[in-house]
Amino acid sequence: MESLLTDLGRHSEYVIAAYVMTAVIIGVMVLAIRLDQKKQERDLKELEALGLRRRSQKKD
Amino acid sequence: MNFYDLANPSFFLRLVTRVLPWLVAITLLLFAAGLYLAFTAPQDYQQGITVRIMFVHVPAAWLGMFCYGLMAIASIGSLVWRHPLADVSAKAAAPLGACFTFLALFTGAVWGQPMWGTWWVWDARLTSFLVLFIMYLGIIALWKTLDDPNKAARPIAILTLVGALNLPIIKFSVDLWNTLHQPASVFRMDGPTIHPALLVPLLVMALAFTFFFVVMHLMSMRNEIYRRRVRAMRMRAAAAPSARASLAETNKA
Repeated sequence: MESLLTDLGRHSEYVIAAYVMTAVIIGVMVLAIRLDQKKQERDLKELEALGLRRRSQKKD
Repeated sequence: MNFYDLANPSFFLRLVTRVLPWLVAITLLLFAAGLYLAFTAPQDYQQGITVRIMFVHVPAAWLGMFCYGLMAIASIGSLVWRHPLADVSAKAAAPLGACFTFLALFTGAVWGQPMWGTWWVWDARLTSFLVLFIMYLGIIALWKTLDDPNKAARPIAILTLVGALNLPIIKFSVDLWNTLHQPASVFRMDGPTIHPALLVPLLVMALAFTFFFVVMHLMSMRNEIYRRRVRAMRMRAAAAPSARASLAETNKA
């Protein structure tokens, strides 16, 4: 880390922009997939609560 | 466990639940090690601090291409063997590949400005990579447009395979044409031309990105299997009058 801190100066804004965008993209990917997972699990639970089953699903 | 076991979505879901925590832990460790090595690596004698952009730019570019390669293989699995998880895999990979490709384009632009004096140039490597990004967007749009994923799988698989012709163009663009982008410096017949002090952090970061992709892809495939189950159950409900009434009540609420 010491190397980075002493580095900061010429062109550092480009490096910071690259890493910030990387963090944003990774964050968006994780968030989008987690939210989608929650939605699908909620939908499945609601349908199962209505007594609906898939054709291949075993009865409890 | 064999290839045919993996064709069973329920088996696949159980496997994902078991391996995911381990993969997440490995990914976090690799990112921690990769970032530490990236920020303690020496500066490049010509590029100075901007060489640190390489540690995110190159893995993102590799993953952008790797992801499309995976989609092409999955498309063959879908067209030839009708593997039930092949088109699930291809569909789940497309948005991830688009994200990595966008990231490679963005980080390339912010690296290009201080080193080349321009954000963008229409040379063969950059243009073919932009085409890859557009291909991803087209494939994502098609998946969203066609309602029935089973019917959508075949035409999208064919389109994906046609688009895979762009991968060798991207790879060899720097050798075949005179480009502003530098030629390959890691995967070369005569070995890497990067100094180990920069190569090691690059490879660790590439491994971290790869594990991150695997985690995201498995989670995304799981979501897609759930989505298809929800769709199948709704269709069954629509066909059965009593269940249809319950479903209408739920939708109203």
